[in-house]
Amino acid sequence: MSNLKETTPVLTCENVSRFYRKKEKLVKDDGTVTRTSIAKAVNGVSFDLAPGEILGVIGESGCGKSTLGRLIVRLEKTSGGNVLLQGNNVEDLIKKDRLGFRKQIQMVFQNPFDTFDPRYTVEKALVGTLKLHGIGSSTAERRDMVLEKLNASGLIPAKDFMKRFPHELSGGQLQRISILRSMLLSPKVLVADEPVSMLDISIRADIINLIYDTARAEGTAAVFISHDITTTRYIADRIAVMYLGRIVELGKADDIALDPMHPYTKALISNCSSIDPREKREIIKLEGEPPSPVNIPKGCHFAPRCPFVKPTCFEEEKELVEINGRLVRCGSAIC
Amino acid sequence: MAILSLRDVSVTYRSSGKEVHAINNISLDVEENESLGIVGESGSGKTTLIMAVLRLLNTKTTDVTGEALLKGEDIFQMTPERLSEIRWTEMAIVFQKALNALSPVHTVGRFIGDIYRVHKPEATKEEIRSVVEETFELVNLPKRIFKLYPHELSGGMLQRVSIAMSLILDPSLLIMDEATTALDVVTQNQILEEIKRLEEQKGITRIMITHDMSVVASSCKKVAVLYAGSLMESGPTEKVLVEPIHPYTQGLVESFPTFKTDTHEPLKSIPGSLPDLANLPAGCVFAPRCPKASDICFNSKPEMKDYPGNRKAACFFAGGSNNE
Ligand SMILES: Nc1ncnc2c1ncn2[C@@H]1O[C@H](COP(=O)(O)OP(=O)(O)O)[C@@H](O)[C@H]1O
Ligand SMILES: Nc1ncnc2c1ncn2[C@@H]1O[C@H](COP(=O)(O)OP(=O)(O)O)[C@@H](O)[C@H]1O
Ligand code: SF4
Ligand SMILES: [Mg+2]
Ligand SMILES: [Mg+2]
Repeated sequence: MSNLKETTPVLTCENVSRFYRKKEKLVKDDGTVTRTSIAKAVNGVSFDLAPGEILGVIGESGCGKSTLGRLIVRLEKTSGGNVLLQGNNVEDLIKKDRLGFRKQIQMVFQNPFDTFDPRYTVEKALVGTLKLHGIGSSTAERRDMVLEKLNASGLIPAKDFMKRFPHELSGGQLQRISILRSMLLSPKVLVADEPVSMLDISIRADIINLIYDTARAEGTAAVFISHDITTTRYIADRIAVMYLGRIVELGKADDIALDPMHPYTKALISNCSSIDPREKREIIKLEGEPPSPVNIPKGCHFAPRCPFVKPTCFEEEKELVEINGRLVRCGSAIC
Repeated sequence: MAILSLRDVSVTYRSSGKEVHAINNISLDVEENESLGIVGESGSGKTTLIMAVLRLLNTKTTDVTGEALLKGEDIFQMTPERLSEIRWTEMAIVFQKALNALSPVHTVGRFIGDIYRVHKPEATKEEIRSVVEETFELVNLPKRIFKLYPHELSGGMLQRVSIAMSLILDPSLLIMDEATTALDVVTQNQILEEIKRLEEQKGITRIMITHDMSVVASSCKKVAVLYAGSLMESGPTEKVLVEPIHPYTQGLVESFPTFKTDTHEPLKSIPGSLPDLANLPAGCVFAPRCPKASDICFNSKPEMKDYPGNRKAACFFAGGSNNE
């Protein structure tokens, strides 16, 4: 990691937050009250991404992963903090040259059917993307570029796939095309938000390998968002674990997966799925439901569910500190 | 004794001039107190099979053949009266989308109480209340959610409400269709633990339909693997998921990333995609994607055959590993 640190980060999140206003109905024993509350979906997230590096972001649903993804690609504005692309604030970049900015940071979503116009063939969609961004000098040239990419990724015969409409493709095939569409632009950063969650196990590897191989080949850095740590560990160089809008632990993928330190990371990993019924797993049980970012507990956000909780945890939240080459937010894990 | 026996069950959808062969000649036994996982990828026919067994398919556009014996009585031949008698009391179902199964305009306590009342019209208010309370307790639901509406509950709570609802009339068979799929692993594991405990307490037999082998691994004694509407392999979970003998199961198991997977080896997948169910291959349905396929596989259909250790597989070359 030391040689990664010497280069300028391609992406920087500086204390990034996103708060949503919510009208909420509270049911109390003595009746019902409505009040406006604030959901702290992303709450002070900071990290650097080196060129070509793949960062995994994991955590339970609702912890703010997708929101963070949308902030990075600037589909939404931050409520606080800055996102920097090669040292430049994305707010400035997008004001100056929206299209140029979009070309540099691309996003792949969970459901590829939502991201393609059902009336356009694969050819029209992909050639159109190239044209929009001024890549290639003629339609013929653009077609060749698309053909080559499809062929290289195993969508063969590519000529046949070019003619198809989204509904004539399987979810896995369309997701591959969605990734290729993003990668045709040679972006600096690719954000992939749960790109395989909707797909069958037997074809997930194709998608994971495609993201990994094309990102590595192009030197594209990636943020890989997932709730599944096994897949994430496989693709990512480093992993950030989120809980209630905060990073609770961040470090090398193998360190996080094999030797988690934060109590939440420990619990998450102990619960991760296995298909071997003989495996004796020590599952760490968590009390209660995954909490909502509306009523964030005082002190450590995880305290109400933490198996290692101490009275002081309810009073004050700990900072992320560096221990053994990783960042971790809780002392319980160490002492 | 088998609590449910499927005998040569086939389901065909007729839609826009096409015949979609969603389920083809499936036979299997669900033994009492031996929870069975039916795993298959999307489109393999899991929901179709269960909807057929529950008699919830549209009879105008769907052909169902074969037998589905519930404690010896063929569900496919039951009168509508008999059918509504056994629903909930003998055979209950939990779907993936709990919210759709619950009424949005009733509090969950009221809704579940009503189900009880329909089947036990003589029950008093107090009796209903205590039965509902007891059932909620079984699935770790706090009393306060009685007064809440479905949209006010988290995903995990909703799924617990659905499970409570399915248990209220003490069924002997509980069917769950992707019931924990939408939940986070932590909540999922908690609910699976609760279900296993409940089963033992109440002597319920469960059929768990899912695409997720890990759910079956941690909660079912037996497993049956479905592909393109046909059964590929079945047997004890600790055998089938650890040493699969059918090439499809072998491919599935190898695609599942684990902590043991060497992160520098490329992840594996099964090349190709599901066959067209309106135009099934003449031989083995898996042949077009199978690494072991030879001529015979493309011409004849492999039968489900017995193998040692109480296992079955439908493959001319069952056994060995994929890499031979
Ligand atoms: N547009 C929005 N308006 C209000 N609340 C939102 C919005 N988007 C996300 N949230 C809330 O922010 C939290 C984080 O959501 P999300 O980023 O989607 O989490 P994840 O992707 O980890 O599941 C959730 O509680 C969610 O309800
Ligand atoms: N009403 C229907 N008409 C025609 N085809 C259908 C209908 N319902 C399901 N199918 C088809 O039957 C196959 C099996 O579907 P389903 O039982 O939902 O699979 P699974 O639950 O395993 O994902 C799929 O190819 C699906 O498209
Ligand atoms: S019968 Fe042939 S094609 Fe089918 S699974 Fe066995 S080897 Fe493969
Ligand atoms: Mg999300
Ligand atoms: Mg289904």
